[in-house]
Amino acid sequence: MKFLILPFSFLAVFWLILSGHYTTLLLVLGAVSCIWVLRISHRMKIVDLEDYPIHLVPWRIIYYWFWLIKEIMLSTWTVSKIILTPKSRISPKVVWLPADEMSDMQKVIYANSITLTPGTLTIEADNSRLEIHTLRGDMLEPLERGDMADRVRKLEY
Amino acid sequence: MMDLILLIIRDIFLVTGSIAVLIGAFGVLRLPELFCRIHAAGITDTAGAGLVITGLMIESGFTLVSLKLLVIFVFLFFTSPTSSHALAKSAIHGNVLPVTDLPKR
Repeated sequence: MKFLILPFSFLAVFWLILSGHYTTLLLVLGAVSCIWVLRISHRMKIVDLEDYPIHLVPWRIIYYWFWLIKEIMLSTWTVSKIILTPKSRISPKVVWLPADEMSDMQKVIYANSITLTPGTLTIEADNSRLEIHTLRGDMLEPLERGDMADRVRKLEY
Repeated sequence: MMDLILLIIRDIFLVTGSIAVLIGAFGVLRLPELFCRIHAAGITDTAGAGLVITGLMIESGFTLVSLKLLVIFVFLFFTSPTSSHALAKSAIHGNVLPVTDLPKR
């Protein structure tokens, strides 16, 4: 039942935001297309926890986003300095970082967060590790301390 | 007075965002091999787009336009790492491996 109400409200809100016209005709058309999309996606059996991650703790993920934006700003500053300094030393490195005790969803969040912060890039993953490419060795320090990994581990109930 | 402060904040966001986009573009040209250039492109994707969109959201205030901009912001934060992964992955599949011992310049 929650996989009917949740996708429907999500689609409805999305329609309402993008449309901006609230006449009867368009609202009915919107409701019809939401129901139609729901029907198709249920027939394709693609509606599950991966699409609607309700097992993530909402306030923690919102806090995590703000923390991530702060981290992105900090490393943007570092990478900008590297780019703008003439003759700056860059020494790219590739290392494997542990990503154990994480569900698939958490691994995706972790890998995407690493890629989002400039200076570090996830290029490969296996069951319990991620392969990270970095612009300069010292940009890995915050990741090696495991601060971000710990925060990601706490995201699920 | 309030309007003026908002205008200034908006301008700060728009200008720093544009500068971030420029730095990203410059980095794509300046850094050596492909994987380093992906890092530079990441600045354009995250900081550049994020700051510009925040500036535009301040510009439009509490309207539907701001909500749409927020949706764009969230989608960008999900799609930009995905495209970086795809690029890095396809480079490795095409035997373009990351260079880890660059010559000192």
